[in-house]
Amino acid sequence: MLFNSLEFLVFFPLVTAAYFLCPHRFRWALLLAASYYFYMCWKAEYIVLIIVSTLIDYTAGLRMVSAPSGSRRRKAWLMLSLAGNLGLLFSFKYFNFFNDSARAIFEHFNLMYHVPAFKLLLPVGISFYTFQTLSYSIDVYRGRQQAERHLGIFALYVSFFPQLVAGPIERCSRLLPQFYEKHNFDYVRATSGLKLMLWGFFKKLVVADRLAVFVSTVYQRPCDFEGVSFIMATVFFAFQIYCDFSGYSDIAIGGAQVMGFNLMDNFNRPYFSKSISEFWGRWHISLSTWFRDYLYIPLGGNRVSKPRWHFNLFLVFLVSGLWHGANWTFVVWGALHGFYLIFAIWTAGLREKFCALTHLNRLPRLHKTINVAVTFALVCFAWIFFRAGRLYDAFYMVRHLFSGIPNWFGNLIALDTDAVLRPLLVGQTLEDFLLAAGAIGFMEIIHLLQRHGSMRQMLGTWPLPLRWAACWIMIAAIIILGRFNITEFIYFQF
Amino acid sequence: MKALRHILNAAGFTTGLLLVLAGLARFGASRDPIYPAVKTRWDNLFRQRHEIEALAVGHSHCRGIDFDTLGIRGYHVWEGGGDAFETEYIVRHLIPRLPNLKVVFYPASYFTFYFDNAASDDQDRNSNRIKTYAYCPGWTWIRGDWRNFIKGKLINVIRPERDYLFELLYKNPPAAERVYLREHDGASTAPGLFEPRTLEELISLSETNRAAEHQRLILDMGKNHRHLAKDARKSVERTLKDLRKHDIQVVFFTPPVFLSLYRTLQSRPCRRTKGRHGSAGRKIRRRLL
Repeated sequence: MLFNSLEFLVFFPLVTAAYFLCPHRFRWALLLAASYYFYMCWKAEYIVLIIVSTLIDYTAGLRMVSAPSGSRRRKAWLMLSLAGNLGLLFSFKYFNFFNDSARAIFEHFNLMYHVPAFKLLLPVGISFYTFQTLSYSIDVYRGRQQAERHLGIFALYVSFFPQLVAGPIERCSRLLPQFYEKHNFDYVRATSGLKLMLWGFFKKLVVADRLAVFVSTVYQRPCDFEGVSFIMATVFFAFQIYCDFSGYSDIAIGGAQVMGFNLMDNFNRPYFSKSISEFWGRWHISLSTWFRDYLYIPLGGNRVSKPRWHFNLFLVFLVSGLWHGANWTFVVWGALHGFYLIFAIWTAGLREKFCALTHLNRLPRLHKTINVAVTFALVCFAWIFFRAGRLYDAFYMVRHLFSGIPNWFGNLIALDTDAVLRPLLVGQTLEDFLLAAGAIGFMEIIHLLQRHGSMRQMLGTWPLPLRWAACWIMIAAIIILGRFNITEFIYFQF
Repeated sequence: MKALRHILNAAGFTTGLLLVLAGLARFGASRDPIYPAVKTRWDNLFRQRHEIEALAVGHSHCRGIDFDTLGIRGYHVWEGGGDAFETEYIVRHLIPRLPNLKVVFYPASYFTFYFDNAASDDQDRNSNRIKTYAYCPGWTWIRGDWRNFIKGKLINVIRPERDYLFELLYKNPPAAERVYLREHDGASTAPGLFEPRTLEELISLSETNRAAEHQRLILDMGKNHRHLAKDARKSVERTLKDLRKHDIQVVFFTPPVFLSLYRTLQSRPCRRTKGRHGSAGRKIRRRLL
């Protein structure tokens, strides 16, 4: 079931109403049933994977606490949990990728290769719930978390429907205790959650799905286009993926909030980051912190020799790329981000000297603006690899990124509007283009306003009629400007 | 006291929201309809509902029926690609509204028992249902198809195919939207029929090989609707029962100009249709007619 479907608009109020009407001791059962139903609407058979994952980690958790700390038995149960979860993830998500890559290598050397491909559909959200359950097992192993003894509550932790298929990837220490708390209906909290959901729908239906038309047209057949279209499509994609994913997160967090649950924030105005490391502190926060806590720090983090530190950074981003998808394009995307970070560390002194030399450090606003622009450009460049269907297309776009730009500027100077607009209006009308640009502008203005606190808090200080009017306008804007040919959220495929 | 204030707040907000939606619906209704040809067809139908004696229902294979030649006052309410379920829905809602209805022409083609537009992944097919709900007066929906029902009934509020905001800025809708108005241009004077239907055109239509497309649709719809053939047959039976209850005659037919489609279609569905539902036709006749 998609958040942007009619089913969800019926499902969510029904589940919420039932949740508050249900006695506290049965609420976990209600939420678990609703969560399983939510997942089974997509493909019923794949609920088995969630159940298997749940049972492995539940058992492993209980066995680990019964074994002495640091004992072999404890380690063995952790290994079982890791092997079980990562095994499922590998089988369903990565087997074909590695198999195809191996086949390509064998064929390159004219060698026979007979391992058949799996004809399996990638289970929606498998990377998300796998990482969520892994964090539980590792925390229990480390003794940071008590094992959950209530199987139902644990199953709910794995499958809680608002964040099941695309996060935020919650930690057990945050989410599990919330299932034990009794949440009474709180009008203020519920309306605040609904407002967040509304904002999420706006981002998804009005901005992301509108931008998708142009982006898809260019990225599906890059050979038909030139530099201006590539740049525009990539910038649009940067906002499309942001609005798509953060829209999902907003709906998930808002939905959970209506029922009384607090999920972690997943985005914090990422395109206002002044550096790549800051970007990763603001983009998909739940995944970045997961990698920090369960991969980067165990590898030694930055408390190792410099080469090892750089290796750790690079490896984390490589794995992060692979986490996003079983394709070399994602691996290159991750590697690029790893490289950006290492390069930033290498050149930190040089950049400081440059700032001092050009007196940029005396103009902090300009300095900040340049940093934000450069970071955005680097992130956009990496998005090319993320969005392209295959590496060939990505490299083609990189090679031709600036092709036709002098001509385009020539047309701009000559005020030849048709020639200027042609590469910008691929697959869309001028009105669509202006609307998309306007929607991005509107969203970024909201983001700018959010510097001093959340928009919802700000809205809370407005008089009632103004607050209502803002919500009505938002709903009307979604109805009028939204795209209702239902499209999946991009991050579902991960 | 606090709870009462919250209830009043929620009620106030909801009332305002309903007013906004009503305003949008009114505005939407004042603009060009999303499916102008379909809307005009239904409007015309109700304008002459007391005179209509015959209906051509179902799908495009009705195109060849010429009521003038048959000497009956008839009307075409079929929709290209219309399935058995839509036909049942339309017939059920039209019977009480057409007091002089005597005959219904029902095309029995190779896909009659294999099409369910709601089960299709193709948005064009889904829009068939939306059109039906939007203009056919009725407040029930075909079993399991509440999504399209809501979309159909809210056609003036949530207008999927156009950004009607732009209509405020432009005298004419943008070029991309004009395609929806195209059906007006080909409007024929024949009741309910908006497409040209000379013999030559019919033959050329039959020669357009759409069998492969239908084949794909049959497979797709079958995947999403497990017992489609059985359900479609039951739907046809229900339609016939409804009609029989009101003493309305049914004419099943397969227009000969579409025979070429049978020849180009893969033989399996044809054989299955003949084997399973060819006899179903006989069964239906035995049971009902």
